[in-house]
Amino acid sequence: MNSDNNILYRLLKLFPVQTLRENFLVKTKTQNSIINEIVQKYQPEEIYNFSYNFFNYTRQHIYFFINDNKNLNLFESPLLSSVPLFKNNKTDSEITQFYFYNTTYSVIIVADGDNFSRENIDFKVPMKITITKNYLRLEFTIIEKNISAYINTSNRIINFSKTIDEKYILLKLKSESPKFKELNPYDLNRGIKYLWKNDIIDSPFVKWKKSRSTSTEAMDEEFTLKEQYPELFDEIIYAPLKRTIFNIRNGDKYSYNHFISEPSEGEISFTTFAKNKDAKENVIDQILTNN
Amino acid sequence: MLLTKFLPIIDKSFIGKTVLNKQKIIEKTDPDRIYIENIRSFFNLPFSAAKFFCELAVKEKIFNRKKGYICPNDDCDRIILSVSDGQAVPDEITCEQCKQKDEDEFVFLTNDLKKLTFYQLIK
Repeated sequence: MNSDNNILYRLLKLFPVQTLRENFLVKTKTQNSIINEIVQKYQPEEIYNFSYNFFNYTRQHIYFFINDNKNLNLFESPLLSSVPLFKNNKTDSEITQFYFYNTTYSVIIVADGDNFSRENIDFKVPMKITITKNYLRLEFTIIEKNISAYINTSNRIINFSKTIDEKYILLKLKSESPKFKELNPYDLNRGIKYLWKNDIIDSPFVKWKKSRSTSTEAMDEEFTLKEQYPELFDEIIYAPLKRTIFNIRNGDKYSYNHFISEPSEGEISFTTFAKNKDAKENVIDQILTNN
Repeated sequence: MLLTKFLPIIDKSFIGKTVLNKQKIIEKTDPDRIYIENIRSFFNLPFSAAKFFCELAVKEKIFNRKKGYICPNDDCDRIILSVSDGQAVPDEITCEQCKQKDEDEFVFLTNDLKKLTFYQLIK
């Protein structure tokens, strides 16, 4: 269940199959067989290097924090000492630290009838920290909630617990890096609202802060808020946005059809695979340059 | 009220000129709960500038700074307690709505909760 090859298999499962096919020499065709072939044929180091080079293709939760003092030298290196560091690069304008953290999901596997067993499923998960003179950015790879995708079973899986997750890493960063502890979330309301006002994005689900309550508007079918309720949009545009789904109107140009953001907390999530290496950066650049 | 008291702070700066057409919107704002994002979006400022003006208003005793503690349950996400700066808070806070809705967790350590800063106009 948790051999080295099993863990490498789960790591490769975090990437789109097309990206695997384009970057490894494989003869097989289906996702499972391609991943199994890669695990058999390639060295672990080659797979880790692939994960590092093609990290932008994974589904990600991204957290931005504002770097007020503009000084890169004040940050500890590495920022996270309790997690294995894979690469550490520093230039005058940017620090990037790439890690693989180990986490274990405890699950219950329900077989036919009343048979069930409890299993631990180990993962090696890539994550990246980027520090510039303007912000610190944490990029976590999203592991699918449906764990059966990673252990190749048709049995029902009930997730029970996991040892390490994003919340844990954020707490670790606060305890291990006094500099990180001082940082505040990078408010992205301005950049997001610029795109919304200019019809680059619209939302099928909006959550926003009214003065004395939190409101949500979940649009029916494929409707989006600004298009259907322009007067409500005029009101929302002055409020702090909470976790909101955005459809990208010209999705092909950005290679994503949607993203999720909690702008007031500096969070952006891409819950689908990127279609190309620059897709994520194109969307983020649009938000940050207008923020 | 908010307009007449807060605007002089903004008016001293270069952005004062763009303010008048925002009058209607700002008058609708709840003077007891003014979020930095309200100010930022009214005047189309960067977040840091809006925060600076709000803090200046606190210094000039036009605004009180307050802190709201947010319920971490995804389906709730409301402010469950708000206090003025320096006011003591309990070690634990109960979200009564989550308790009534029979959520698994409804008592939280105050230190673990996310906080949201807002301002109150001093009348």
